[in-house]
Amino acid sequence: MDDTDLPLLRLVAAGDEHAFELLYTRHAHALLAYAEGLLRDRGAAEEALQETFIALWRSARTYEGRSTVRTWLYGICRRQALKRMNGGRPAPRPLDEAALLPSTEPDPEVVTLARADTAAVAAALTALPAAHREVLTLALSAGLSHAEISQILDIPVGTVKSRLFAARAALARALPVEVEGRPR
Amino acid sequence: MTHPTHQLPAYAAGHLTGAAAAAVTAHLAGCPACATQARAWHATATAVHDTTARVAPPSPGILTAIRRRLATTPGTTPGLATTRPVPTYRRDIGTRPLHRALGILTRQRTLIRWPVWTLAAALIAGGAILAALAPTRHAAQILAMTVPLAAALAVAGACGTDNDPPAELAAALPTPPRVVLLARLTLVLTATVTAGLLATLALTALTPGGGAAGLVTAWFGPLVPLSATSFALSVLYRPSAGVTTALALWLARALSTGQTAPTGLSPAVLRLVDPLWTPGPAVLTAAAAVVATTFLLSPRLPRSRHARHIWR
Repeated sequence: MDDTDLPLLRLVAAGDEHAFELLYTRHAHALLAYAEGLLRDRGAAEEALQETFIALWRSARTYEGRSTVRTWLYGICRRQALKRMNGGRPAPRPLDEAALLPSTEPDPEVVTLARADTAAVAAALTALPAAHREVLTLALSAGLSHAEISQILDIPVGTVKSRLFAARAALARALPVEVEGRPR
Repeated sequence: MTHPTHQLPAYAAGHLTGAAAAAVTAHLAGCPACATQARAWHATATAVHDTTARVAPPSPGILTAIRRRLATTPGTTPGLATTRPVPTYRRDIGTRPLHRALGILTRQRTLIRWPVWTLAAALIAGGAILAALAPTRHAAQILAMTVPLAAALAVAGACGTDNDPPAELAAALPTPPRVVLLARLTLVLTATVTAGLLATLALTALTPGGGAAGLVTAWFGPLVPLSATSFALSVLYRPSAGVTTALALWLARALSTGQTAPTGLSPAVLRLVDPLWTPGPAVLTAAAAVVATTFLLSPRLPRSRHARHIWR
């Protein structure tokens, strides 16, 4: 993935507008969806996307390669989105969540989630707190690794893991209660 | 058996490839618990995927707007920009300034080592007791010899960074070094001046006839240039230089005013320090300038010198 992004970024650093457009085409949609998920406002998300790519153009030469280009873009996009967030940053997650250890044995809620239909899960997803939706989007939709998410959110890798499981648990709890034996 | 618990999200979302994916598939075939977990992750991933896919793609207008802005804004050549994508620490800067200032001051109180406070308190208390015991006409002179010295020594102890582990800690924090320095100077001077004022008030209450205003002028005047000298030397060179110079100035004054045994020094030399003890506007202005210059220079000092002191 990054074998394609990094040469493009080097070209952008040299002033190549075509490379810039290619990078935009590759990532703009995913970044916009990420920003819209954070902000729940199309206009503000589009602004954040614009600022992200302006920052990309301006800072391409100073990119230090400490993260992948994509992680870097997500990080910029996140900062731009947080700037536009009404009521400030998302509330920090409670401390007990950080200590949550995912168990191997599935609890009843996980079983429910495993059997739930997609529409119900998608409906429950919209009810989740921003921090939970964010980590699910980064891991499952953008397909970023735990290490990459940890860089973007500026939290330890262990916290990424536990937050992922906490987000899934919250999602399972947000599902409508299933009546036993009801035809599905 | 090791369960691939943390790989299941990526696996269920289809982001795991090759051998890693094959290993998880093999594990799921024999582990019903993980298989249920994987199904739950799959349901989650599908919902997240659908939600993301429902977001309409960016309209072509956005790229046009970006191009227009890049073309019209100056300084948008790649690499020539001064803006940085990774912002420096700015999270709380600008909110509740009074609260933050108070917090910084409170922290400095505990970071300044206790001998500094003890020495200053002992000097001022000693001076006040001496002044109370001595004839009234000497009270002003005694206070003028003790309170400024206490202030100068405390400033050297608090503001110098010689072998001071808390300074190393403070340098690693986002609070600018100048602010820390200013906080320390403010704290130490406020404390010594308050102690001096209290001593003066106690003195005037005990011994009728002495004017409080005259006493305060007698010690506050010399306090300003003496503290400024000590501050500049401690910050720019090292605290021992500040302490030594303050003591030397003090000794010269003591020798020139006291009825001590004759020294080898000419009285003319000793009298050179007199303007420091009865400062006019020129001396006070110079003291303020010295303090301001020290503040300007302090963060630009070579760090290696400080490091050498700290690791000594």
